[in-house]
Amino acid sequence: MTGGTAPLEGAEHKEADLGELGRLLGEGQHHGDAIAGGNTSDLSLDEILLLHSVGLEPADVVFGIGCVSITQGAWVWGTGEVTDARSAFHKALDDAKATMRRGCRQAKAVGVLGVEVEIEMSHHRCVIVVTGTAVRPVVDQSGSPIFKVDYHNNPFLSDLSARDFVVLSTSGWYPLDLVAGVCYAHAPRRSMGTAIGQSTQNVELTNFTETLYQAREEAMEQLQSHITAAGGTGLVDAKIVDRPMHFAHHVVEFIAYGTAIKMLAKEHTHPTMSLVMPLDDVVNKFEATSLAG
Amino acid sequence: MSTVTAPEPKAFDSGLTIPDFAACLSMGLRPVGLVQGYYVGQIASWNNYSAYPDINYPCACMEAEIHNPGWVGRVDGLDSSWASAHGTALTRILKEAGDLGAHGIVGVTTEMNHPTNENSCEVHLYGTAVVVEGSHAPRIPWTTQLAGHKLAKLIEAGLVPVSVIYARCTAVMAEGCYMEFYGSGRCGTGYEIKPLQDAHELARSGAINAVKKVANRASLYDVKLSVHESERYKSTYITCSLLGSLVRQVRTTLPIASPVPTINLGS
Repeated sequence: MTGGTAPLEGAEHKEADLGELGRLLGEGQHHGDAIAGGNTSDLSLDEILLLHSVGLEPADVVFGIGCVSITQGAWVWGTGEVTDARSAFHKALDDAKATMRRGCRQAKAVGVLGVEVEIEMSHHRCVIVVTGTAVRPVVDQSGSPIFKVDYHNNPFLSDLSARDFVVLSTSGWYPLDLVAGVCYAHAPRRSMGTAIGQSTQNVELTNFTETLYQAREEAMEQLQSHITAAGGTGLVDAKIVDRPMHFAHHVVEFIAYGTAIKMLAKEHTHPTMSLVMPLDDVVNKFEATSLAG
Repeated sequence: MSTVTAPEPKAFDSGLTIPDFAACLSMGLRPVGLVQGYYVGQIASWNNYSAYPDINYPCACMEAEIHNPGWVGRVDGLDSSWASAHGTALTRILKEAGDLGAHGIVGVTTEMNHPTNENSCEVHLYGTAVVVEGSHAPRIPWTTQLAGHKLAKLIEAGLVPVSVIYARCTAVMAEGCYMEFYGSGRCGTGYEIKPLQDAHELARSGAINAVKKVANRASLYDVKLSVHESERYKSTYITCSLLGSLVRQVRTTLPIASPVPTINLGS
């Protein structure tokens, strides 16, 4: 990390004069051509302003799609993991990320923020769509970028919001890649006798509980290896999905994904916090209907 | 359509919240009226289905019979119906605002739906027309989804609003033997299903590129993409709708102070 971002020091933010901004709005509408532009972003305005505070701006909305086939009979009730589903998932995710990185490079961006991940697993296909905003450094008057971190010339992909990215990067950390671990596992059948015997009892379905644990172990191990492969030392904001498949109820799906990160500064810098205590309590409103009796 | 006239306002009305109203007044934006633009229309039934192949796919099943190889294309008629519906509603809201002598419309909200069935479309835009005190009216009033302090932040960043914008692109994937082979698991695991991938890409890039075409060096911010997938007659329709704000950079972004991290003790 070459000091592109300064720690959040809690500097007083001077609110702009609203009257002056209104005047600028009036003047701006009669201004000639835009001095810069052509950017596209699905970030909120607050997020764009936050990015500006660390020297980044949105460049383009980028997306990637991976659609991969799954062989016939992959979901037939058996034992152990549905390995076809796992390999299709990872190939679809890799395809989608590769397309997104291409878009990011075309936009001359250093990475993609706010990546939204849509996963659709069905009998014969796995479709993964990733959408986010590529961000690039703002240049100062001398033409050099204000945000100077560009880890190994490899654009980062992250599902963190701009707020989270600002806090992370000013603390000395840097996002590297969106990584996932996944497991689709068959819950073993209960014997007929066990099923009949349990039908009148409140008992744990240990076959499902154990399968869920096994699926979690497998997925988390994959996640660990993907974090390491991406060059990261950790993962933040992990999202976990565990559920039976809607088209194969005997299969448990476990997905964990998040942003692999690495500390590029010498040490972690904790931002100075200011405590805020709002005094605007909830007002008890009078309800006219209460008089109806 | 002859009834697009704004009522003569005696007192102003507005859709602004109290904080937005207070901020607009402080910025010298005087609300003059709540303006609206409607369009309800019929979509020609053939528009839902008429598409021409953009990308053809080879026969993949390697079987002796001649098969339909499948293709991906755009349903332009359907998309242009919606684009024209939004364009007409926008023209009408701008006319109402212009009649009130407004310079722009803040807090524009867009509502779109099918009022009867999928062959009908309804677009409803509403917002608060404002006059910028001390400035003269632009040729066409500007429009923005923002109001109050959010609008102030936009201007502080060196940007001014141009227009709210809507675009839509529907891609259709006609299943032929390519999809029957790759999409039904007969090929094994790990093969890319190109037609579906292309249809998804076509829908998204079509909507984004439609906006970029008319942007004219303006930037597109606050993009909301919504994607809907449906199946009809062995074809998959993927529709990508885009709502956003076109903004123009009129000066460099002022240096913004480092934000103050806070912990809320109230919750």
